[in-house]
Amino acid sequence: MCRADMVDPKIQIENVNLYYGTFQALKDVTLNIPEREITAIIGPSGCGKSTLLRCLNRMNDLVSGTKVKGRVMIDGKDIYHASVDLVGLRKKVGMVFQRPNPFPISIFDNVAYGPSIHHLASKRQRSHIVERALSAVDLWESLKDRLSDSALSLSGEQQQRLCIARLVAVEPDVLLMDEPCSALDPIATERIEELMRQLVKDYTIVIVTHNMQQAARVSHRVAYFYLGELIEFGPTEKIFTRPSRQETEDYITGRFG
Amino acid sequence: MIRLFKDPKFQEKVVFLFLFLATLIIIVPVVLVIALIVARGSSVLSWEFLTAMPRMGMRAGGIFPAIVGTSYLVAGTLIFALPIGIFSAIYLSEYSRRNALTRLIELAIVNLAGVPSVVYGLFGLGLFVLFLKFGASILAGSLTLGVMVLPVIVTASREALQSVPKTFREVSYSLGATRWQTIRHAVLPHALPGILTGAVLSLSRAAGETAPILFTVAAFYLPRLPKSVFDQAMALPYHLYVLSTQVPNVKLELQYGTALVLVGLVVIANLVAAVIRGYFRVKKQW
Ligand SMILES: Nc1ncnc2c1ncn2[C@@H]1O[C@H](COP(=O)(O)OP(=O)(O)OP(=O)(O)O)[C@@H](O)[C@H]1O
Ligand SMILES: [Mg+2]
Repeated sequence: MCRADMVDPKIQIENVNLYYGTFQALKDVTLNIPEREITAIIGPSGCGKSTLLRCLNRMNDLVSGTKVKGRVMIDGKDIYHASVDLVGLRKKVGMVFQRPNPFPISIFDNVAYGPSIHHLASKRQRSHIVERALSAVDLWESLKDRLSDSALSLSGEQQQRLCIARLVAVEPDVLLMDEPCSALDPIATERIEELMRQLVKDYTIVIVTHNMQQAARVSHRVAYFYLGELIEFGPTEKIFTRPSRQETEDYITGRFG
Repeated sequence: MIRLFKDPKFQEKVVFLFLFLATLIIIVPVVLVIALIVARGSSVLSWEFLTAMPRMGMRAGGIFPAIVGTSYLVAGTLIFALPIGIFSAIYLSEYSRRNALTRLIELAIVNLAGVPSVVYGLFGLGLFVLFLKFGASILAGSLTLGVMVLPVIVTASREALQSVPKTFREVSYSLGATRWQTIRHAVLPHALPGILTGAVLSLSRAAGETAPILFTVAAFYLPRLPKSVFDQAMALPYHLYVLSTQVPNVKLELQYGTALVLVGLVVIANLVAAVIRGYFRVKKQW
């Protein structure tokens, strides 16, 4: 399912240590994330999955008292280097949150939020961008006649798709997804997974999930974290059939703890 | 008997009755005041009353200059206080970290809100009228009222900003927005209804207060319209005070009519704000 070799990884995480004040949430994490694959991050609650994800678009900068040591390279450039432009980084590395969180404004304005902030397009081109983004998440056909309705009138699954469309509209390279299906029912979850399979043709996806089946179904590679440490990282089939660490096996078979 | 008081169902009824009565007591004075003003004052309401100059030492004619004066004062107050109040609320809520300075500012705001309005009048007299030499003028009066309503605007705006969910900001940042873009596009629009409430509250206060304008702008009797912001002006609350205490042999209806106009203006402003808020609530909810 995944390429055995990893020629130029999209994201290289090298010896990253992260501290919230005095608490160390990530311990010497080294991990290479390949381009146009889905990498799943699994592990028990509080092991640092969200923290790692938020390292990749520097959302942790918003939390005062965080310190990051080590390097995170995206496309070969250290994103923690002083010269890095945060706006550019976050345009390139977008994030989907656990709860669908559209703005309480119209469907159109939600998708147009990024493009209009970045002045990516004139008003006319903007509707073109919105159409493309909504098509990319399979919402265009069902919503094209009600673009001015409030985004809150949509179902949970549609809202989450809309949030992905809002992201796609700023044309990122990397999609970070933090438990994107945890607020959805199984059928909606399956459809979002299908969407991820489509999107991975164009994007590098990193997903955090508590759902082992989901990791097994959609991901190409899996990273298992425990207490801030990377325990094992490898191709999905291998992790789920022949993990090399006992801890990993205990966790994925549910014998954990 | 004691049994009865221990019965939860009976307790429920008693509590309900007390709470209901307490609420009723709040409504009664409001209704009485309005009923009295309407009953006594509506007979003098006429087109002439609203649009003509006062005549015969204010014993006849209209109250047009007082309506205009109060409108100018309210507008001047908001022009001065709204931007400053909203900007400082944005600073306090979105930019500043909590430290000694912001705590000092908070303390100042709370205390400012508790200062009696006549003190603001003296302050305005000292600073704007005398020291800055604006004289008794619309400018001095608006600035004085502006200082008085600043705490209301800052507090309401700040609460409105802080009630905007944190996720809105996170999403905006995660899409690459800068801090100002985030405030401008993801926070402010959703705080607008609350900010509006603060604006209307302060508008009502500015329209109704007498003490702050007493020494800073209000004219006793000026049967013409102000020509510039350096002119004195009549104002409704002060006119009402003058009619009630300074001018002998005024028909009582004139006083109640003036009060009715003042209350009417404030009620209309509140209604407009309520409609706008309702519109926002239908469109935006979280
Ligand atoms: N802002 C913060 N300040 C201090 N500690 C934090 C902060 N955010 C997270 N932590 C701590 O860091 C550790 C990792 O948190 P993180 O949210 O990354 O875990 P997670 O693996 O995503 O958990 P979950 O599966 O519950 O989402 C936890 O122990 C948490 O308590
Ligand atoms: Mg998490």
